[in-house]
Amino acid sequence: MRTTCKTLEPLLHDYAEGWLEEAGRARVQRHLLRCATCQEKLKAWSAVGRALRELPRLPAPACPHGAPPNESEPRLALRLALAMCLPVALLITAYGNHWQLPNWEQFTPYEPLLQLTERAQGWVLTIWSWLRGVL
Amino acid sequence: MQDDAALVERCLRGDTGAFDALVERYRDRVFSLAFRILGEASTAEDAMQEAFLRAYTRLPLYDPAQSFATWLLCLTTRVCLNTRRDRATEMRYLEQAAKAIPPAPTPEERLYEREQRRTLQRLLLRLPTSQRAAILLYYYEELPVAEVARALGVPEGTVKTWLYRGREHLRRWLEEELG
Repeated sequence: MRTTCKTLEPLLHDYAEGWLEEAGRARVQRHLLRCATCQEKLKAWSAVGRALRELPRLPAPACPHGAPPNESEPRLALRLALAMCLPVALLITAYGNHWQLPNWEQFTPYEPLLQLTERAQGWVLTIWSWLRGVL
Repeated sequence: MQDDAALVERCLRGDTGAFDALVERYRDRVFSLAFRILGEASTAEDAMQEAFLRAYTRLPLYDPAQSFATWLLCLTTRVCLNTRRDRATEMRYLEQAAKAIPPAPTPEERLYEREQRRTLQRLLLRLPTSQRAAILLYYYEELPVAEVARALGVPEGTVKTWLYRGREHLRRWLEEELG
C-alpha cells in the first residue's frame, strides 16, 4: 500500500511521541525522506510539544485554600470516642456496685449476670487505665 | 526535606502539619494545572481547594505504589472536569482569558517562542475540556499515557487520539495566529 500524507498522519504523531514499533518507525522514516510537508508538520508538532512543556508554573493565591478545612477534624472523632467511653465506664461501674449490695446473694437468678458484670467491670477498668495513659 | 511518602505516612497517623507541608509543596503545581484546564483564576482556586480537600479525605485510599504527585494531579484533573459550567459562563471565561493576555507584546517578548507560549495559553482554552486535560497532563505535567488514561477514565487509545487531535489543532491555530 502506498503511504500518503493523509494515511500517515496518525502514525506520524505516534512516531513523534516514540510510540511506534520498529516496522511502523521504518515506514514513517521512509516517507519522511521524500516528504517535506510531513517533515515540517513533525517539526511544528515538536515545537508545540516543547512550548506546552515550557508553559510557566503559576503561583497559587497566597491564602492556603488547599489546607484541610479544620485541622482538628480527625482528633474530633477521637475526642468523641473518649467522651463516650467515660459515661459508659461510669454506668457499668455504677451497675456493678449496685449489684454488689450486701443481700445480692438472694437474687440467685441473676448470678450469671452478676459474674458478667464483674468481668465487664474489670475490662472497663483496664480500658480506662489505658485511655488515661493515652491522654 | 521529607519525601512525599513520609509526609503521607505522618498524615495518615493524624499529623495534620504533614498535610500542610504537602499542600505547600504542591499548591503552585495544582493551581497551575487547574488554571490551564479551567482558564480562570478564581475557578482554578476553587478547584485547587476542592482537590486538596478530596486528597485529604481520600488519603487512606492512596496507593503508595503510585507517586503522590501523580495521584494528586489526576485527582485535580477530575475535579476540574467535574466543574460544571454552562455555555455562557464558558464564553465569559474565554473572553476573560483572551483579555488577560495583552494584545501587543512588549519589545522583550517579541521573541517567537515567548509569543508562541503566550498565544498557546489562550488557544488551549479553545480545545474541548477532556482533550485539554489530556494535553496538559501529558505535556505540561509529563505524566505517562497510562496515568493520563487512568485520570480521565478512558482507554489509552482514546488518550493518544486526543493528544494527536489536540496537538494538531494547536499547530493549526498557532500557524493561523503567528503565521
